[in-house]
Amino acid sequence: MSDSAIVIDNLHFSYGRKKVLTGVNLSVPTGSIFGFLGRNGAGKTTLIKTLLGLQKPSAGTETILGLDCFANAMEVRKRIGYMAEDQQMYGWMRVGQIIKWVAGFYPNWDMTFTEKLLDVLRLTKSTKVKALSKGQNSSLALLLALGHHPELVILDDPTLGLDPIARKDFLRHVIELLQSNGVTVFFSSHLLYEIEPVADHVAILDGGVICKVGKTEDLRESVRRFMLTPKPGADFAAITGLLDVDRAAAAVSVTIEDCDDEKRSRIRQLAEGDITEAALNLDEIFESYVIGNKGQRLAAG
Amino acid sequence: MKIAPIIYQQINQLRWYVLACFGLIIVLPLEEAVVNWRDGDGFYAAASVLPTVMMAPLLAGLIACANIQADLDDKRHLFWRSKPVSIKIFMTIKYFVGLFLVLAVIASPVLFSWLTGGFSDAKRVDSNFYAVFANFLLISLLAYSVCFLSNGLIRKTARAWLIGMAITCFLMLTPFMLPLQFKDVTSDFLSVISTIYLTVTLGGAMAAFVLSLITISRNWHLQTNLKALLWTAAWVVFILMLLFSRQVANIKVLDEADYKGYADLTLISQRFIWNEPFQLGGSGSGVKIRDGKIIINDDSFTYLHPYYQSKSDEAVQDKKEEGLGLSTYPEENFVFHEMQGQLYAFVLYKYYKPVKEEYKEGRFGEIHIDKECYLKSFKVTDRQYEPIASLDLSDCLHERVNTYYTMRFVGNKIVAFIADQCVTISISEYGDMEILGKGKMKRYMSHLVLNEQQDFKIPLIPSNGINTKERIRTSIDFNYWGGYRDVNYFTRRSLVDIHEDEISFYHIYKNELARFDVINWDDEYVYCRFRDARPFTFFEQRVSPINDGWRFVQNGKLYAYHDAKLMIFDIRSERLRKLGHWERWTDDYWITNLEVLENGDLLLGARERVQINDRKQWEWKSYLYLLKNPQ
Repeated sequence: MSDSAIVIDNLHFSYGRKKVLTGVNLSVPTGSIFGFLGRNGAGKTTLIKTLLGLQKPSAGTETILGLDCFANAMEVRKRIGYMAEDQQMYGWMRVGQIIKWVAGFYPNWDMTFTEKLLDVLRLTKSTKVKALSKGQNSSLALLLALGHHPELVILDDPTLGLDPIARKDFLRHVIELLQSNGVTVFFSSHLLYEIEPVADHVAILDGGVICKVGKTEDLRESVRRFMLTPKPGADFAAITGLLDVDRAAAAVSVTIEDCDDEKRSRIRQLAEGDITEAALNLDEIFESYVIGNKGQRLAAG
Repeated sequence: MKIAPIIYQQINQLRWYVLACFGLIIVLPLEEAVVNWRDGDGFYAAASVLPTVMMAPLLAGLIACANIQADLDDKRHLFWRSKPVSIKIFMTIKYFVGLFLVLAVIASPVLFSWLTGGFSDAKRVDSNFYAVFANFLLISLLAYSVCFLSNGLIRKTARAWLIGMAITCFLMLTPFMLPLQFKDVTSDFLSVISTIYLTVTLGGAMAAFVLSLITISRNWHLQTNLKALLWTAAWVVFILMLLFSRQVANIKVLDEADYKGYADLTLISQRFIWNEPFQLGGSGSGVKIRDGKIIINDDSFTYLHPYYQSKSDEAVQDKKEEGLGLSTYPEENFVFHEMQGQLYAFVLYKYYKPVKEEYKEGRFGEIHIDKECYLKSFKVTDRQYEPIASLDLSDCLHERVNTYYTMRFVGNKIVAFIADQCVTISISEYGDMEILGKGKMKRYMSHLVLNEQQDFKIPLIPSNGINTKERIRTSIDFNYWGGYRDVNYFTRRSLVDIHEDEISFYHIYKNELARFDVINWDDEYVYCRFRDARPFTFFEQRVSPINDGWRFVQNGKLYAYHDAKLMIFDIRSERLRKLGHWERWTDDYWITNLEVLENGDLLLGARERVQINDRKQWEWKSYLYLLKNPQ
């Protein structure tokens, strides 16, 4: 088995003149739960569509499980499971019918496993799809993504539109079902708090490129925020890895990635008095990467 | 990929649309069956099946749109596309399942009719049923495929259906519009039926299907603008109306004149007389055409009715005293012929004895026992018709009751048909007459039936004094035109076109103009074969069906008119094409005559009965039109 379930190399994609992805590089380790973060409209779904072979990239290569995503799209789709945000299915079908319908597409569909999933997800075959609640709808979509024992599951904002309890329920099922089987999960979301507890790797997509990728724990460790009072004329922009500088009353918060002793010492030189150092949660890290000003605001001030 | 669940779900997906379409298409036959049953005629549907089938393309388009609309919704599209589905196979299955359902819907009224015995009696079903049914099946196939494609692109059912149907119409009309010099939509429609039509429908359907596969697999999506769509629809309707108007009003009127009264346009030699036909004698109005204008003046020429002329004939008066009646051919005119600058008039006199005969117990009717027959010639001067000669043809009257008789000039000879005899008569330059030959005809009085299915033969008239082609022409005209209805027409009009080595003749049915070719002849028969036909459109058939009217061939064109409708056809093209159509959409209006002028323009005489007050009193108004002959 390859070390990487997904390998993306210098991927470009445009809708006409609008450039959406401008050189994405990414490697998703096999067996990981990979959180794919980005704001709405960042290009997450576009990237997933290219992974599914539904859209042809302008440039670059993508492989899933060692197969070229576009050239071997059919083979790729047989081996992966995909669940889209706010999944819409055929409302006039019953749950049992849509399972049979989807099962027809997969040579290795496991009906016994499907029956088990129906129990776990508390779905009944006779219910019409249009009569399902949003949570049940997501559960059914998950079931349809898993019934053939995929090696990789791509979840594109799967909890969009679910209420907090349903979301929590859904995520619990995802973890139970996937983690135990060693399936690679590529989990795209803009809700950091739902990724944080489950993802062991994360990547942040912003401005058409991956601006940060790594293990979740490493990320938490390496991104630090310092609260300090700056010396007159202090230039934080010169610090390598500066993500954000924000003035709060007399104090300034400085967020730095890949924080090490050298960077800590540099910050101390630019500050007067005590310095407070804090670890950030994923939400704050994401914010720092995506909307961080990298010292420009302070410089302007 | 397992196909059965896809087919099952596809049928499931379409079931309500199919049921709705089925309901729409079966309601008329069902109603007809109920009405027939209520009338005690049995529970069957027949007449309504064809109109119902004509609705099929609309429903086929609807089912096509419904077929894939649900799959192409953005999020649902992503759902099935993310599965290992071969789009081409998936869409092909959907296409053919939908098509099968469409065919089932279309077949349902036919099946219903068949099951209820609608087809058991041939009279119940339109003779063209199978041809029309096949046509509409093809059009439905095209509509279905095009709508399948348009919905693949537009993804909004109503718009996709409208656009799909518009494209279908456009595809059906394209061959008629390109090249643009095509004038006759229907004629081109005919050629399309025989050659291009299959290509357009089957080729169009196949192309649309293939294109739809490409469109959907590449996820091409066309945004439509409702306002622009409505404008487009308005333009399409406008263009169709223009096309239609070109079909019914494309003969230019150069000039017109009217007359308050009942007048007929008559051609005597080279003179046009516009006169009251019931006037037994006197001057008519002379009609001249100068610089594209109709000029009417008093003509010194005396127009005489044969009956009026006979009043001054002593021989006629003697016969009348013997109790004999007189009938003439032509009935209301003479046959004029100019020789050496002198105009002569000819007429057949037939004396008969009226006898009362009991045709039903206690009821009597009058029959005419024909006694004598003469061909008379007159020298025509400005003021009188001077008798020249009288040729006794009484020995031709082998049958004595209501004998058929007619005649026409062929060159300087008269060919007369009296009872079962054909007499060829030479005319001297002074109007004297001499019988050249006489023979018994193989067939007369009854018309031969034209056969479109197989070759048929027409007996040649036994007249050896005229050249073969004219003999053939006269034989054909006599067979198909010798009836009483066209009695006066036979003298100088023909249904036969002789062009280079080709001889063809024409017949107008209720629903088409048919062309027959003379393929061979021998001493006794002319052998003929159906060549092609030009069907009449719905509008051409309605109001005043042209098959009931008058028609003649002249200079490569067929002129046909009836009531308020005139149609001119080009008969020397590869296919029959309508060149012009002139019509007055008014009641009580009749075209009385049509003459082709030397410069090719047309002089058309017409008459209208006009209500003058509320007490249902009427007066006649007559018209003359100078028309541009369409090329």
